[in-house]
Amino acid sequence: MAPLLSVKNLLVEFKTRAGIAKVLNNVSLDVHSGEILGVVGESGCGKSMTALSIMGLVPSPPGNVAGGTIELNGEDLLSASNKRLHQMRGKEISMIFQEPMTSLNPVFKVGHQIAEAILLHEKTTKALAWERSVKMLDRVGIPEAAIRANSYPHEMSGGMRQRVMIAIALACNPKLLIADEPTTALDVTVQAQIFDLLRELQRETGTAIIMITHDMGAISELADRVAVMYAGHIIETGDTKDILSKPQHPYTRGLIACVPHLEENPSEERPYLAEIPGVVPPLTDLGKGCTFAPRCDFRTDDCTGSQPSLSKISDQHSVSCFNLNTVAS
Amino acid sequence: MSIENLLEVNDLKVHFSKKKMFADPVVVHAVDGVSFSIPKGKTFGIVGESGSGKTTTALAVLRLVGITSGTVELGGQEISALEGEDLRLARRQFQMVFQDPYSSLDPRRRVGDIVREPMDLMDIGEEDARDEKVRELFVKVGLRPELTELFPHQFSGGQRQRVGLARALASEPELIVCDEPVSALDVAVQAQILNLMRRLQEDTGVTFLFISHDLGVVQHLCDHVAVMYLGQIVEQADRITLFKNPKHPYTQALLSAVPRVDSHGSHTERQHLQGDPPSPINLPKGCRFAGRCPQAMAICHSEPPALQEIGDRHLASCHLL
Repeated sequence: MAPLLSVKNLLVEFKTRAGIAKVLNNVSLDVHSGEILGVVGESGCGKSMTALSIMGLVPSPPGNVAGGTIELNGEDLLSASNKRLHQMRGKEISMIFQEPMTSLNPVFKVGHQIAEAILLHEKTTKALAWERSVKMLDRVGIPEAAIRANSYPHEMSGGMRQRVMIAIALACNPKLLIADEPTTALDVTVQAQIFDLLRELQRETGTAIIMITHDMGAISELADRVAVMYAGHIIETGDTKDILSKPQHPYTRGLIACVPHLEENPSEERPYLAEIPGVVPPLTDLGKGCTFAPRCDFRTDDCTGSQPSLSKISDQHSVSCFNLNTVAS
Repeated sequence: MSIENLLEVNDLKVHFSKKKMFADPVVVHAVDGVSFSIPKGKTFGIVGESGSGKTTTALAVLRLVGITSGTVELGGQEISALEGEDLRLARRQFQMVFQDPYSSLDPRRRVGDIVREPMDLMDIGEEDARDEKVRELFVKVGLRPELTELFPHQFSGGQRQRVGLARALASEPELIVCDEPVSALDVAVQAQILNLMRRLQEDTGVTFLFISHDLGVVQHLCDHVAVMYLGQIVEQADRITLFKNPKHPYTQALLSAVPRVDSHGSHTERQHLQGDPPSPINLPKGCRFAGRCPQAMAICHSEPPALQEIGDRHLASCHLL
């Protein structure tokens, strides 16, 4: 089956005072209908920029998509006109952001903001659009939806606002939803509610989701497949189960091991956490070797020569590392 | 008790009252009767959601917000009763590390001066020896000593938090209060800082009061943990007991809400809390958690439960127990 979204060899550069920053390097990923793809990595690894590129929202200048292709249902998004992109955003691809307070308009009622998305993309009357926005609010689990549609964003809690954002994003039944750290600003009990909601809506509508996060726990809860990013590269991708139980890339291993995971049965022994030494290299000066080499325990001479390509180690699982055998043993 | 307690907090209350023009003032019960104690050299964690009062508790212990009632004792000295110069000098014994390493360091001063300032203010050690002490502190927190000449913007987030720790250590305090010290950092850097905190505690015997919303971090770092909900401690126990055998329905729900890396595919069995915490202005008459509690009974809505001892140093407030 052809993928819904296909990103191939995407290159995105930013002009900065320190030189050209390569924020995305040869990023390739596929998303199929009805699946949830998790994109995970630290800040500055390019995960949000991948999302913005797909939406056609890379700020330009200083940003520039220097190469590659992005296709949605076979349609090339990079060469699409602004008008066409405008039609697609909200209708075919929607996005929800990290901070639900700043992404809603504070001076309009939330019902109005949902109706706006519907009126923009469909021929319908204002009254019908309002009716549908009340239905959407009900569907995302807001009690007394007909009354709450008249509320302004400041009258709602963080969790409620994120539900409104999801309602706006899903109002026109998009084929693809990009969720950029949708629960980072929320408390854990509310985060659990939002995860339940996303999972339920995804099951009902079959919308594909790209879930961007830094939290391996969130990936484990929601995603079917994962792409791990580091310094603008996808360094490992595969089924969530495989990545979490058999991570191959030294960075993925480090990322899973350095987080103190909550255990149901904690032991008296408390070993120190595994550390990934050093910091992410500046994107303006990546050198020609593997971007992770300076922080890697398994570094060899090969690693400083060139960036390893993403190669398959099983049907679904790909890794970019020269020393997979030594890492595994 | 065999272990000496460094910090004793007793029935601490912090209420904020907001004047209204044509109505009675509104009172926010940010911290409402919190008691706990921390043995010397241990780490005490307070967890809770936003608005639970954990940060206000920390600020009250540090005397950075007005205490409405209750006492705070540090090493036998009642710091909640100190005023003026006495309070200023006592601050040497309790320092703080802040959440945001970007806004908690003065951007116009060299980091070496920032770390030296507490020593100057408290007149600690010989003046000539202070710069040497700053360099020692830098080494202690894992920074190269020649970096003292740089400005905060030249550091990464993790390095800045190391500077924050060095500043907190400069006056050789007994207690360091850490308010979400790692939540603004990336996970790889977070691990470095958490390990550093544990090493510093082993070296210097400093006591930590650690505020966090991240249960994984608290489980890793803290010896004793209190769970707060709407200004009150609902459960408190040592680390093993609390995470292995949580008794309060809120603690249970909080633990079950955390996404786990090993749980792939098993998420359907969990029960999740509905709704949001009520406002700390119009508090419910009975148990503050009753409105969201899956096991609420009639009594829960009319009578507030008392915090009672249900095991060895294990306290919980719930009518079910």
